[in-house]
Amino acid sequence: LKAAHLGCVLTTALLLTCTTALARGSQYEDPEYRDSQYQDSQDEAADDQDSQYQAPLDDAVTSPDTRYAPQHTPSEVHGTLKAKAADASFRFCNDPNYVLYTHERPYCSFATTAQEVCPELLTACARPEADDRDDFGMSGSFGQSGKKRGGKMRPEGEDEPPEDEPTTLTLPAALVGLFRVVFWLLVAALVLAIAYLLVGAWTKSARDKKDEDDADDPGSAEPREPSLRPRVVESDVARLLARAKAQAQQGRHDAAVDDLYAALLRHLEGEQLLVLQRHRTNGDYVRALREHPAWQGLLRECGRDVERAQFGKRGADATTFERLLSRIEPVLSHALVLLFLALTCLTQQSCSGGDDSSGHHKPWGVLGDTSPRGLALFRSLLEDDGYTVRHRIRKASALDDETGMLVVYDDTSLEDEDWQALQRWVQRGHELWLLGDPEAAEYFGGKGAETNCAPPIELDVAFPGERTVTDDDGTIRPLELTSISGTLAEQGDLVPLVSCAGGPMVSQRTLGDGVVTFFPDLTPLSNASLVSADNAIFVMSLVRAWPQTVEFAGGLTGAGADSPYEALLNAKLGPVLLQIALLMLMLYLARGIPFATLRDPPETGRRRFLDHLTALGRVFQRAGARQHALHHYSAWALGKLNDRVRPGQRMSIIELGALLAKRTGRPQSEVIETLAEAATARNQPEGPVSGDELKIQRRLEALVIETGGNK
Amino acid sequence: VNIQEFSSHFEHACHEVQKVLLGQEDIVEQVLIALLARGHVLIEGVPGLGKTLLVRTLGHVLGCTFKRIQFTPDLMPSDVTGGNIFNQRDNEFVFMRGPVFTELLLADEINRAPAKTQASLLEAMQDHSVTIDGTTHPLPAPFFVIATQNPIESQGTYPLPEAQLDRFLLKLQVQHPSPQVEQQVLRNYLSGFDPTKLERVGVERVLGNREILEMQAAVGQVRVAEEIVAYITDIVTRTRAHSAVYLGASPRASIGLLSTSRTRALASGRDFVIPDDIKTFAGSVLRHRLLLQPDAELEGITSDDVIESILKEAPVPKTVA
Repeated sequence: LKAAHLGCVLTTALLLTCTTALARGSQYEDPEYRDSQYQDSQDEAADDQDSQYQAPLDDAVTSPDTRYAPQHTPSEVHGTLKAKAADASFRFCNDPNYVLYTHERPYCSFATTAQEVCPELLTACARPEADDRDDFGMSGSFGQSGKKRGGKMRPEGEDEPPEDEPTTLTLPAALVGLFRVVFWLLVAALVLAIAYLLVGAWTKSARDKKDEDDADDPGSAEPREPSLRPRVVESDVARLLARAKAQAQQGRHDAAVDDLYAALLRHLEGEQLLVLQRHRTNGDYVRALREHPAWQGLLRECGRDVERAQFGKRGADATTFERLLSRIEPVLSHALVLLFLALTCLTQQSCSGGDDSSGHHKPWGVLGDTSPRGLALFRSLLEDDGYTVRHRIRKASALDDETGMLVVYDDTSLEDEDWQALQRWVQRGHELWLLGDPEAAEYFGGKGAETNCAPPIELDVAFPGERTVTDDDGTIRPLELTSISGTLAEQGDLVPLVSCAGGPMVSQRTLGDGVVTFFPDLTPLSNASLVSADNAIFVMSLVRAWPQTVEFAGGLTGAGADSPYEALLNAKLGPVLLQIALLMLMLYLARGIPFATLRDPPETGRRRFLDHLTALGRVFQRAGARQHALHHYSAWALGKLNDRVRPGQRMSIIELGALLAKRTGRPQSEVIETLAEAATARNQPEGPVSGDELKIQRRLEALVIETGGNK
Repeated sequence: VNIQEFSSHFEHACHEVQKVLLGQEDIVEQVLIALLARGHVLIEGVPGLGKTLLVRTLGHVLGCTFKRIQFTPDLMPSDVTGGNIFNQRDNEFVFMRGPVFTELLLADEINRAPAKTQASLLEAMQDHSVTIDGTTHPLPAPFFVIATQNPIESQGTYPLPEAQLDRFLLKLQVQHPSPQVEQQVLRNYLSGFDPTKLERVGVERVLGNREILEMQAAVGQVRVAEEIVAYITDIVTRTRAHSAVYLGASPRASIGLLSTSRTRALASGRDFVIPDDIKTFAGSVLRHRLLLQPDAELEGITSDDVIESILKEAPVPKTVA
C-alpha cells in the first residue's frame, strides 16, 4: 500500500512540525535564549519609553497611598510564620543535615536573626556548601526545592569553576564537512523516497483505473479472468454514504442499499467493534457485537432489511433505502460529531493544566520552592490570608480586574504592549510590585539597585504599617528588619518606605488609583528573609489588596495560550499547518480518507502433510541417513504388505514374495529379492551403507502402491 | 402454510421437544429441519446422551407413528423390511410388514448390523418404498429415519459404506451436556420424570401428518438467489479440491445444503435464503460425505476442520469486505 506509506510520510512530517513547535516552545525555558529575547525587548522598550510611557506618569499622583490596612497584627503574623516554617517541607529550617548550595550561602546573613523561627539555618550555614553546578543555573526564580539534588560535596579549598564555562564541543573541520555531506544525503534520500512513493502511488492508481475500465468494457478484446483482477474494495464511510445516496437518486436501489450497509459495517470496523472478512456473514457480525447490545440491535434490524433486498424476491426499493438511511445516517453523522466534540474537548483540556481536583492551582516554580531563596513561605502567608496566588501564564496585557496585585520578578520578558497594559491596569486601582528589574522599574519611574544595603535599616515616615511589635512577654519593641539586598537609586517622585545606610530599600509611588512598589530584588520576599527578624511583618503589611488574586509574572508569562489554536499561532505555525491541511485536502479529494485502495491479502496456504514429509526427507538426506531411513521404511512396508496379503498371519519372505508376485504380476525372484533386502535393512538398523538404499526403497514403495495402498 | 405459520409451528415443536431434551437445542432444531426437508439424520454420540429419547419425543410431538429397530449383527434384511410368509390356512404368501413401515423410524446403533441389512434401508430411505419379491410397497408419508451410531466402539461393528452415508441428509454429533444442564436433568428425574410417559411431563402434540406434509411442501416456495446457488456450489466444489480431502462431496450434498437452507429460512420467518443458512448447515450436511486423505487423518485433521477451513476461504455473497 504505497499510498498508505505516503500517509505515513505525511504523518511523520506533521510530527516533525509539532516537534519543531515544541522545540520553539522549549526555547522559553532556555536561560540564554530567554535572556537574549528579554534583552532585545528591553532595548526596544527603552527606545520607546520616553515617548510612549512618560506621558501618563506626568499626570500621576506622586504621594504615597495611605490606604494600607494590614489584616493582622504583627503578633499574629509572627505566630503564623512560626507555624508555617515548622513544616517539614522547609528543610533548611528543620533538617539538621541540610546542606546549603553555593548560591544559597548569602542567605546565611539571616541565620542569626532567624533562630527563633528557623533554628536549623544557622547549623546549615556552619557546614560546607554543596556544589550547585547541576542546578538549573537560573537566578533564583526557578529553583525547585531546597533538597539536595545529587550535587557532589565540593572538597574544601577547591575553587569554584567559572559560571559561564563554555560547554560547546568543537569538531574537527573534516568531521564537520562529513556531517554536512551526510545530512544533505539524508535530505536528498528523503525527498527521493517521497517522490518515488508519490509517483508509484500515482501510476498504480492510473493502472488500476485502466484495469477497471478494461474490465467494465464489454467490447474489450481480451477480458481478464475475474480472479486475476485485483478486487477493489471501497472502505471510506463518507464516500460509501455519498455513493449510496447517488445510487439511490439514479434509481439503483440495490446498489444503494449495498453501499449504505457497507458504510455501516465500515463504521463499526473503524470503531474497532468488528473485523470485516470476506467469509463472514451478517449473522457473524451480529454475533460479534454481543457485548454491544445497542449496535447489535441496529445491525440486526438493518441486516434483515438488507438481506431481504439482496436475496429476497422483491429486491430493494426507495422505501427500503429510505428506511435504512433513516437508521444508519444519524448514527454515522452522530459519531462524527461526537468524535469532533471529543477531540475539541480533549485539546481544550490539554491546555488547562495546573489545576488540581479542587480547582486550585498547584504551586510550582518559585512559588513552590521551599529552599531559602524560594517564595513558598510568602505564598503560604498570602493564601492563609485568603488570597489566591498563582503564576501568570497568559499575557500581561490581558490582565483584568480579577487580579488585584501583580508581582513582577526579575526575569520577565514582557513586551511593550504588556507594559502599556500594566500601566493602565495599575491606574485602575491595582497594585504592582517590581522586584529588581531595572528596566521594569524605569518604565514606572524607578531605578534599579545600586549599592548594598548596610545597617541600620529603618522605616521611613511613609511606611503604612505598624512600627512596633509586642513580644510574647509583653515587651513592645520597634520593628526589626534585616536585608541582604541592594538599595534603590534616589528618585524624586518615589516615596521611600524603608531605608538603609546606602539609600532607600523599598520605595513606592502611586499611579492613578493604584500603587507601584519597588524592591531591589527578590530577596525580601524569600523564605530565608521572611523567617528572619520582623521581615515577614513588614512585607505582609505592604500587601493592601484584599480579598484579591495575587499573580506572579516571571519568565513564562505570555508564553501560555488560551487554546491550542492560539498556541499554534504564537509559535507561528499557522502557515505550515495551512499547507499541510491543503495537502491533506488534496489527498482526500483524490483518494478519500484511507489514502489507499484495499486489496485482498496474499493467500497463505497451509502446508500439506506431504510438504512436511518432503522436508523431513531432506533432513535425512543431508544427514546421510539412508540406511536409517530404509530400516524404518522396510519395517513399516513389510508389515503393511503382510497385513494386506494375509491379515493377522505372519509369513516368511518366500511365501510373501510368492503371493505379492501373483498380485502384482512381477517376477517372483525380483519380488523376493526386494523383500530379502528390505528384511536385511529392517534387521540391521546400523548396517553398512551399500549405496542402493534408495533403489530398494523405491522397489518396496512400488510394491506397496501396487498392492492397493498409499506409499 | 404461510411463513408465519411455518415459523410458529416450528418454534412450538422445538419448544415441546426441549421440555424433555435439555441442552440440545441445536440438535433438536436440525433434526426438525431435516424432517421438514424430507431428509434423514444420522446421529453420532456415545450412549446415554438422549438420542433415543429425542426420537421418541419427536414422534410424540409430531404425532407420527414411531418404531425402533435395534441393529445387531444377526439382524436380517427381512427383519427391517418385512417379508412374504406362507399362510398355510389360505395356502398363499402374505406380506408381513416390517418395522420400516412407519413414519418415524429409529435405527439404533445402525453400524452393528452387517452391510446387507444396512443396505435394506437404502431403497426405503431414498425412494420411500420397499420392494420385496418384485412387489413395491410404498412407505407412509412422511417417512423419516433417524439412525444412531457410537463413535467409540469399533469391535464388532460394520462402518456404513459411503453410499449409505450419502443417503443421510445430516450427520449430527451429540456432545455431553454442560454441568448445569446435567444438574437440571437430575432434578427432573428427582421430581418424577419418566421418559416412557411423556404425557406426564406436559409434552403436547403440536403437528400431525397433514401439517408436516404441508410444511414440507412450503419449503419449495422459498426463493434462492443466484448468488446463493453459486455460494453453495463454491463450497461443495472446494471440498473436491481441498488438499486434505480424498473424495469430496457429491451433488447430492449440494442438494441437501440447498434444501436444509430453504427450510431454515422458512423456520426463521423468511421466504429467501441467506448465506447464514448455508454456513449453519454446511458442517452437518458435508461432514459425513468427505473422505479424507490418509496423511490428513494421520495429522489428526477431521472433516469438520476441513469444512471450517473451506468456510473461511469461500467469500460469502454480497460481502462488504
